[in-house]
Amino acid sequence: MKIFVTSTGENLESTVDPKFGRCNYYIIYDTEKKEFEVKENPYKTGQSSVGISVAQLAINNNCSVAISVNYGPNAFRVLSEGGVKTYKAKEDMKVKDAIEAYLKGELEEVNNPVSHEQAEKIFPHHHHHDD
Amino acid sequence: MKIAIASGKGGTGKTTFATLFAHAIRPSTYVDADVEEPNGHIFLKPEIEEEKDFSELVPKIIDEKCTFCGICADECPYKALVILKPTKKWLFFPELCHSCGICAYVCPVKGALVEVPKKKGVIRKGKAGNIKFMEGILNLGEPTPVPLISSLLREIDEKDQNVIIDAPPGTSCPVVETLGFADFVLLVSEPTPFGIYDLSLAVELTRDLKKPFAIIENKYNPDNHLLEDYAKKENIDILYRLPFEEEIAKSYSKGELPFERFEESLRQLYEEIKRRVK
Repeated sequence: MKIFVTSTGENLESTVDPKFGRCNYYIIYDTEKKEFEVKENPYKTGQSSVGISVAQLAINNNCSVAISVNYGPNAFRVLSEGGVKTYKAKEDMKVKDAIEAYLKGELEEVNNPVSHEQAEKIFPHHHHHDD
Repeated sequence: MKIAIASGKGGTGKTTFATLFAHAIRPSTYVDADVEEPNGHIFLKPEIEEEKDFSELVPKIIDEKCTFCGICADECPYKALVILKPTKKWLFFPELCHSCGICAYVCPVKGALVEVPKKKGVIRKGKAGNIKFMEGILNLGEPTPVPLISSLLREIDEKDQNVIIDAPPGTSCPVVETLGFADFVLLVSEPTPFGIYDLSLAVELTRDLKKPFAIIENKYNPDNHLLEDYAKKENIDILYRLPFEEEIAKSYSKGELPFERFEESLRQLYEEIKRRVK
């Protein structure tokens, strides 16, 4: 099984990035091989709809679980329709601790995204047509 | 002649001025192009005679024909389509779709992606005495007002005389679209640092669009020279001043305006603009 974790840094000692769509890096952990790969989030500074793109990364990499802190509404919809279960890490949790907590069944499953209004506060972005 | 009433900053008095002006030069046509929050109707109180839907095409995927190749989603510049290859599902985010049609254009499978109309707002027409009234109202949550503005302004008839277009605020795409239809632009500003800063952006835009323009000073106070100094420095004429008075604010708050009081001077302003456009 593959787990998709949003990360602030490039290794398992980094903390989980609380912003799903605008995370710095994403880590894909393979539980069978006990290996991980890390990549920089190419959509981090995108103007809009970055959550949708990052969610597609998780799906296209065949991950069945995502770990982050805050999921925006569009990202949440793509993940759940794509069959990826979403889990919430505690803030400042290390990536390796979050994975371990998930494997022990200690992470909370997220059943609702943050609202568009909350998302605007957590992931502020520039509106491109209304200045 | 078509005159657009614009401003950089919102709330500087565009609609106040535009409705006073349209009333003064009647028979006229007033067009509210601020489709995200049109409010000219509050002051002109038109009788609406015609309302029609404004729709645009959005994609619909036919599950039986779609091969879930994902090309439409890859090419969508707004990420409004998502194709989930592993689960053979498609997702559409209507609030992100700009109806650009690329998805339908690139789809390699005949009949797999069809375009269907979606209502995005309305265009209303009516009369307020001998002022012809037109406005667009965009539905909440739509990503861009530009197509509706474009449609609305294309409904201005060649026969329509003395056309006043109430523009949206700001200096971005909706304003660019609106000013494109104008023969002359009046930039309404107030003599405050914020007002002048945003005015300077609107001046830059209007110059880029190569439209003749002038400034209308709202909330004019003879002791405040901020706007006058700016206009002198930039070599722009201030063609009209609406005074800063509690009476005007009070009547505005009730949806009324002192139409008769400014009528004569606004007619003179119109003659001046006509001379400049020739």
